[in-house]
Amino acid sequence: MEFLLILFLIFLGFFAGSLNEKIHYRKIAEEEMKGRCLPLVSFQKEILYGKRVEEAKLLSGSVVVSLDYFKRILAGINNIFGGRVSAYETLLDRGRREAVIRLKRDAAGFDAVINLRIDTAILGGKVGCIEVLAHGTAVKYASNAGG
Amino acid sequence: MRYIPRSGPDEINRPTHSLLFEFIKLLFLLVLTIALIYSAMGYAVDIMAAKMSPDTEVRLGKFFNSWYDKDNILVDSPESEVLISVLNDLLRIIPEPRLDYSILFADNNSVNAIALPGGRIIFYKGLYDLLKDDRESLGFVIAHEIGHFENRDHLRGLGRGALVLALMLPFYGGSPASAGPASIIIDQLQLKYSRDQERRADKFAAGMIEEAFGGSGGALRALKILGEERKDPAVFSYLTTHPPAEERMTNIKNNIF
Repeated sequence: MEFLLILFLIFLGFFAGSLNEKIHYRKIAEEEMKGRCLPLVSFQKEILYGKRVEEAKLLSGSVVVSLDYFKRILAGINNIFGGRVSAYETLLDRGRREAVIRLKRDAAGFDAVINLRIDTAILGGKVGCIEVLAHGTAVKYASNAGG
Repeated sequence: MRYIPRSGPDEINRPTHSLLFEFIKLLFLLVLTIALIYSAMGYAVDIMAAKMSPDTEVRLGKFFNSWYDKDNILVDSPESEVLISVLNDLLRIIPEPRLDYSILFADNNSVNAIALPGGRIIFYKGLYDLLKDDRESLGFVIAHEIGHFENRDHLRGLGRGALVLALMLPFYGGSPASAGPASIIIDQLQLKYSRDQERRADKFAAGMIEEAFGGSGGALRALKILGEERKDPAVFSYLTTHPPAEERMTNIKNNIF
């Protein structure tokens, strides 16, 4: 029966995971379009170009995402033979982009986010669950600074 | 510096190939690797089992016998007398038995009979009750167990059990997520091996009861009853240690008639 259970979980993981991923990517694309006007950079102060900052705030956006059973098995077999672990690539890509979207949601009223950093942490041991944390400094230029 | 927002999502980090195709490719590679290792190590186990002397096997058997002796299910009863008498009938046709065979009756409703290293057969009440004092049917089951002894299936089975543990360790230790598919592949190889062993034991038993009782009617009756008892759907036959009863009956008919 173990055989059938594992087979069922692989199929469930493949279909449910693919559907979830498709829906998530669609939402990510929509949200990225909405927030594309806000400059988001990894350098610390060059974007200021002498502008006076009126307000600054530490922002963070965090998301926890997990692999489906199918991808977990695929990644497990990849670990034996080596090579590119594609199963994890979508997990990390979705995690990073969703975390940045969440960070941007908190940046309403600011002119830019500088010094953006993205960290990843493994949760739940070998379950294949990660937290992605995006954090940066939101800045608002003084109104007489020009643009 | 002016900031110009770009439109369109950035998809460069998304894999573009089919993960399902990658999975099938890697699974095929995994099956091939495990099958090769299992076959090579299994072959070594079979050689060791074939070379084990009866004395060593008896010493090994004492270890297993002690487990059953502790359970207090082995009893002297009218049934054990019938079983001993059938065993003696069968042993008359083996001029020089490899082991000193004995049979014990277990007061337990399990529908089973097992061969322990060293020559001890344990016949369970559940199976005896189904066959209902039919000496030829009982003879087929006992001859089948003797077939396992003569083919050294019990020793090969022990060796392969240890082999499975050894094969699974790297998966659990190094890549636990792959342990599920690996255990399915190894289980399937084990089950296939077990079904082949059962077919060989059936062949041996069919020849033995033909000589002892002058026909294979007992074998067919026993298998029919066992088939009705288990009622496993044919589609799940690849998940069982024994071939389906219908197939076993057909094999016996084809070999003898």
